Amino acid sequence: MKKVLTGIALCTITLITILYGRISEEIIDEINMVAAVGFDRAEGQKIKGTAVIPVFKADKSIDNASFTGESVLAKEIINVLQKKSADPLVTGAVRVVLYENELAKNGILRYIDALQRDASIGSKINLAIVEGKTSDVLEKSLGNRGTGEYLSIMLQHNIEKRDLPRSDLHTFMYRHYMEGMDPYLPTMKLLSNKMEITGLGLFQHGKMVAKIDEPDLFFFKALVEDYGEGAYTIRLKGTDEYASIRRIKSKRKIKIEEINGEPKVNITIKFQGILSEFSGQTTNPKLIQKIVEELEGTIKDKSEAMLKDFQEKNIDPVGIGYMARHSTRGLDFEKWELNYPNINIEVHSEVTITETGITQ
Amino acid sequence: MERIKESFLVSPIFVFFLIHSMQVGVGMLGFQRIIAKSAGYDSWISVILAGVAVHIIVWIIYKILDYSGGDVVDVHKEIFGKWIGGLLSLLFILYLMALAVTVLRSYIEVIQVWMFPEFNSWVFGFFTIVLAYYIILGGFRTVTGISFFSIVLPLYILLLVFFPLDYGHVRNLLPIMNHSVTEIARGTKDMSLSIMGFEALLLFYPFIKNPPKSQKWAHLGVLATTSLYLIASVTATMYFSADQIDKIIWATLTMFKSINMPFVERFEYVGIASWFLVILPNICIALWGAGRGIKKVFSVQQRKSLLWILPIVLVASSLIKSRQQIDMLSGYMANFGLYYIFAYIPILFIITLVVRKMREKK
Repeated sequence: MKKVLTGIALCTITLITILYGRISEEIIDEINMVAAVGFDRAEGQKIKGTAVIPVFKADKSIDNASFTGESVLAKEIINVLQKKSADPLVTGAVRVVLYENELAKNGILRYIDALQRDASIGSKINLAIVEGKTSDVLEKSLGNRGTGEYLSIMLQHNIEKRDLPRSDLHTFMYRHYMEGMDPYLPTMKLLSNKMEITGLGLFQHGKMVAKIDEPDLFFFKALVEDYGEGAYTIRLKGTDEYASIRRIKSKRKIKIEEINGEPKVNITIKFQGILSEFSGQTTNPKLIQKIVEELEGTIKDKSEAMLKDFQEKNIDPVGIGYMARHSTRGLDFEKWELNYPNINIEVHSEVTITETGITQ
Repeated sequence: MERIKESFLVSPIFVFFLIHSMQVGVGMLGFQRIIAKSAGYDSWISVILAGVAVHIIVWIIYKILDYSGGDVVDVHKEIFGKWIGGLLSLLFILYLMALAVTVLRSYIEVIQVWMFPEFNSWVFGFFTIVLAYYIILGGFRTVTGISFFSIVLPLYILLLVFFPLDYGHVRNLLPIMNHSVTEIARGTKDMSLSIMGFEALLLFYPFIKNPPKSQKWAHLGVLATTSLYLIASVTATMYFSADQIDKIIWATLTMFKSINMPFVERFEYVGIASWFLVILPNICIALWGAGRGIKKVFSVQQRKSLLWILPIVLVASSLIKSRQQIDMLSGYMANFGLYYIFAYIPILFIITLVVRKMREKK
């Protein structure tokens, strides 16, 4: 009797597993993994989406295939594209999402919701703005590792080693939702067969409202992040000599003090770098001192000019409001936001040049 | 009072694992949003306060049970008599069953949202219930073993906290105590669902070898839970901005998303799979407790009582369909647990004190 009961139980379990316990499988050779998606404006409320997938060939080279479709919602485009793809498209491996310049000016928040809501999309994917049509970028075969991978590596390398500040999906949303802080995304441009990073688009309430050009990124990154490699070339005043400084370390300190009831912001940038190139051949301590002073002045001027510009546009990509909010107890934040364009912000910089390379 | 055979007892040290594994469950995956609602970036203070409150209750439970030597069913019988006492015990049994339903359904929801949307919730529930039945049949020692492994095996997850910290901003935590005391207290109250479960001690107390000695392990278990929740809440506060955390249902899982290793592209899938081990003792201990309670109240075999309890739990968890319903259920559970743990248990303690004093005088 007991044996019969056990047998019945086992049969039931097996039957249930086979009948109801199944879920659709995804075999890697039988799906198309989208590597990059781009969104452009289309007529009316619609947007045009382009998805690119890498096609792995027998000779180990990677080709690209792209799909284009239109819809009103971002994620819905993938469903539209399914009708054009033989194998199902999956979004789990998306690495880069591009937005058209004009679309970004109208606001991209409604299209970012799809990325945030979807559990299959990673939070470290890179977002970028393209000056021009994203479909032009994604329909081209860029690099030799597939367009999506090319764009991702390019952005990642510039974020980790160069002047681009972190701008992945999580950081964008973090800055968007943080009070007293505005997000930014890198802007790129297609140059015949390559992409080029042209600067940084500054956002407010999900709309791109301003742009920092590429040369200023060196100073901007020092304002928003503590560590940043990068390089900058200065011209020594009164001479025809140029010096290129490579940044090793930079640290920023934002202090908010109150003078006569008015807030004053002091930003100190501690900068450590090495001399990587000098047109005047040999250097001496006096010259180094001159380079240091020159650089200190440039950092101060450029940063202050940038901050002034932000204040005029009433945006806060540096996060000064955030610093104020989280360092002053009981700050009246509404008043701060109203006052923000008129707040006195001063930048101080301390430059140390530690080495001059392997020659004097 | 019946004595439990020596061969069914567990060493005092295992109380640490029992308490700790029972407290940590699906709540860990997303409690941050709930406590941040009122306490904001000061919510870590709420976590500590909740931990302290649990310590006090654990102390009270030991005080109640040390005297009687039995479990809560015996205490109820002793104080309130057969009928009222039995009714109160039944309430506790129902509560344990509802706890199992909440844990099971919330975990299935996580799988459905994060991995397989078309996942059949009752099939998974069915297998979990069968597994739980199998474990409980092995007796309390097997249940204890499961709770031991549920802590030791997923311990590696703790190391992964360093990945999201890469994106963390310590300044998010400052200035400390910028929220009012009432806001922080409300956050503490909202922690109740996450820290619930340790009250199963009321039932497994007689299964501990030399129970009074186990008290320090119980406190250590609570301490471990509080530290774990503290780590999770501080990391989330540093990783997310204040308004962002409001929107994120599973903050811990979302932080797993930022973990990227050469051999695993996205860690949350590994995390969710590992989490089954974490919730398994939740279900097993709760159902074991319910079965044990029924056995004592109605004097039926535990095996038979389980055959009634398990299908009820399965059906109940399958009937819950949407996010709203799950949210509602956890809301009710949080409230009920709050009053049960922080109001009923202290009241019971006072009543037992008074009754015992009076009897001693006689």
